[in-house]
Amino acid sequence: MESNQYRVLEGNISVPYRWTPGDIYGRFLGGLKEKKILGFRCPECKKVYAPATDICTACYYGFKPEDQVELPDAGVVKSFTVVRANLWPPKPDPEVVSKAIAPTKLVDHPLLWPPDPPYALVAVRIEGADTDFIHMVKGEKNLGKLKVGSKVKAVWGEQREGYLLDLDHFEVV
Amino acid sequence: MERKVAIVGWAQSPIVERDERIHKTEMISRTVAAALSKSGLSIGDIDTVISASCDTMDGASISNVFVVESMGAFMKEESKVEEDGAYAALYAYLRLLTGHHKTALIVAHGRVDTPPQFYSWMMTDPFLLRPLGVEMVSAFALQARSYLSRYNLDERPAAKVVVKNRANGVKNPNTQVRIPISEAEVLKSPVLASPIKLADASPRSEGACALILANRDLARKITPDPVWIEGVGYNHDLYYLGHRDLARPESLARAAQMAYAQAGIKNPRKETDFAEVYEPFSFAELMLYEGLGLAEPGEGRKLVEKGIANLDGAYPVNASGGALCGNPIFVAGLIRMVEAARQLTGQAGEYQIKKDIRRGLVHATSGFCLQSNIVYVLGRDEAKPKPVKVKKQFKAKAKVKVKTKARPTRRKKARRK
Repeated sequence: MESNQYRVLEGNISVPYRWTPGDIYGRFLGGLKEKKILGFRCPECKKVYAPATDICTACYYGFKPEDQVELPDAGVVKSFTVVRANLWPPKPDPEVVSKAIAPTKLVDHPLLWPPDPPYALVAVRIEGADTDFIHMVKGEKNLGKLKVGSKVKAVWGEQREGYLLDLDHFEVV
Repeated sequence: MERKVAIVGWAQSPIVERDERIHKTEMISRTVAAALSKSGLSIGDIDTVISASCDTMDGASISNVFVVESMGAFMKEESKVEEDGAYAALYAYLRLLTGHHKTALIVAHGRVDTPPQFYSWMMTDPFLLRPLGVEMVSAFALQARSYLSRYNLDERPAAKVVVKNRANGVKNPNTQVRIPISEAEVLKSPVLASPIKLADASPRSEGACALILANRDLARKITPDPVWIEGVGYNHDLYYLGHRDLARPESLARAAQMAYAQAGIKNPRKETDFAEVYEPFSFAELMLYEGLGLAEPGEGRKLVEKGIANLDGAYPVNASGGALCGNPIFVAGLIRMVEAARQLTGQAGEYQIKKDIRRGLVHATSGFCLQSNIVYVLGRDEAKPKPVKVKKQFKAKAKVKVKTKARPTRRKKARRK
């Protein structure tokens, strides 16, 4: 007879959220929709942040809309990692999740599941910026060429809605 | 620094990948009971309890509320940190310094009820990092590449860290991975996120750890071998990975300097005897040598290449096998404190450092890419501790070795008021 002593309760938590980027982050994300990478220049130390941040980490200056500067959609790779192993269980079927947990289609959104490997995470120093933009490089051809110091250029998505992945990935030039 | 607070007792559950035969509460209560038994105290002797655990892993808001009973924290002052247990020890230490409390129990528990990559993925902000699938492995891989590229290093020194720690882990009955590995095997292991390979990463682990601190007067009554906190430093770096220098974590150097200043240490390599550090990945340990001032920038590799950090080396690091042999998240840093205490009191058994040791460094980290760091300087009394037979954990009734007379009873406490 099989022991009934040790039980496991399997569950899944799907909780809806509404995250608000506010003005400064919102401008950065809105820029991506227009195929633009926006930086924010601190008027005190002149350091340019891309992506956006609410404060200058050197001066604790709170960024204002007028500090916005437009940067090229290209830069240099400062660090990278090629993600080879798929650490994730398969993305849940949105229909199943929505029926079982809550009436939401949110699980459909790309924000809510990691990309499929192989892909590279890269830290890109956008031209004119003083910080690195963490993003992706995709495609075996690009992954093979990737080095610290590689020049990369943005590849924009067809449909853009003001999210990080409006910039689909960077390609090595 | 004046010795005001000491470690007087500890216990840890065996680190395992997963044990589905046990409720989390049992894991905690057995560990706390073992720590009390080791120090000869009863739960009534504990004034304050600080715990460390993770809401996401537990799948509940403020998840410590469910385990107040198991921790023995009811009818006491209790609080939780959502950081490694080494931070819970910091808060407990600071509480004792205020004089409001005389004893403190620290409990860290990490049960991986959700795959650990989900927990770390949920640490990313929803706008800039989460869509990229950034989690522990890939974030640390970005840092490892930054480090290798900054100092023009290959992957072999990190492989040597794995070889060293795994060889030590074989001797540690409390840890999880107890299989030695060769440098060639590390270098050939499958890539998770380059340059991090499977063998460079700590395993998936769960476990609990409890530590008891007491103020100076009580510590001497509780144990003949108190382990004193001589200094502690802590520092927190920026969150966004692109906004900080990944190759050289500044918060680590600052935490170390703060701890050394308190302990009156100018040269940590000469004035301390060993270190227990929290290395979630092999590459991190090289960076920790440098950040802790045990090696010059870019030269951390020398500690493993020359065998200095080996168990029988001039400056052993992670004699216990470190986190590469067992990494219960939120617990592994507190376990480093326990391992250092075992070493300083001569209770480390087969992995006891042979040379005479008086002072050790403990490091723990929290967050992505060594974002937050805490460094302790721990020391023992000048007299060498008598060799102690290591007690088996979770013995039903461990022998109480404390002079009962010296223990503060409830009556005495009441009288003092």
